[in-house]
Amino acid sequence: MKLVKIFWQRLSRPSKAASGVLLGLGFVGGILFWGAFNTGMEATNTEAFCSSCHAPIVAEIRETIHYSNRSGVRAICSDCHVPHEWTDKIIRKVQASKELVAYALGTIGTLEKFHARRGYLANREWQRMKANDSRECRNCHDFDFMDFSEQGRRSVAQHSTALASGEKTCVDCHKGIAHRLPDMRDVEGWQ
Amino acid sequence: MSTLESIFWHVLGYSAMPVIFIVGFIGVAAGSLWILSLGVDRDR
Repeated sequence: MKLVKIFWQRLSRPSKAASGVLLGLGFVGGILFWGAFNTGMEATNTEAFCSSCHAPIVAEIRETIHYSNRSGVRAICSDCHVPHEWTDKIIRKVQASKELVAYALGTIGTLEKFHARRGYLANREWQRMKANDSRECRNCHDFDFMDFSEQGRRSVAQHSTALASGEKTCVDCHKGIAHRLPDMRDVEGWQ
Repeated sequence: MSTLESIFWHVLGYSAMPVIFIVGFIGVAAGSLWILSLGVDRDR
C-alpha cells in the first residue's frame, strides 16, 4: 500500500524534466510495451508453442494438404485455431489461459491421457467453429470465389445448397481435415 | 461450449483489454518515473 501511495504521489507531482522528455519517455515506453505485448501474442501463436502441449496432434497435420501441397501454401495451428481479428483473438487468448491450468494438472500430459481426451477436445473445437460460422476456414477459403467447375459433383451439390444458404458451415462436413478423427460414434451426421 | 461458458469467457475477454492498457500505462509510468529519478527528479 505504501508503494502505491509513493507511486501516486510521484505521478501527481510535476517533474522537473522538460515536457519533451516526458512525452519522449511515454512515446518510447508505449512502443516498447506494445512491441513486447505483440511479441508475446506472436510467440503463443507459433507451432512450437502449440506443440509443447499438443505434440501428437500437431504432428498429424504433416500428412494433410494443409501442411504440404502443390502450391506450397501451408497453415499452422493458429491459422485455424486462433481468430485473426484482434478483439476475437484477445478473447480466445484469455479463454486459452484456462489451458494453463490443464497444463499444470497434466490433463493431457501423456499420450494415453491425450487419446482419452481427444474426442472432448475435438468436439469443443467443432462447436467453436460451428458457432462462429467456420470463421477461421473463411480467412482463406472464400465462398464467393469458389469455382464450382473445379469441384467434384458431391462438393458442388453441398456447397451450392447447404453452404450457400447458410444451413451448414464448413466444419459440419470438413471434420478431421488436418488431424485424425476421434471416435465419431456420437457425432451428428457421422453415424 | 455452453451459453453460460461463452458469456463468461467473452466478458472476461473484453475486460482483459482495458486491463492490458492500464497495466501497460502503469508499467510505462513506473519505468519513466524510475528513469527520471536517476536524473532530474533525483531529489524528489
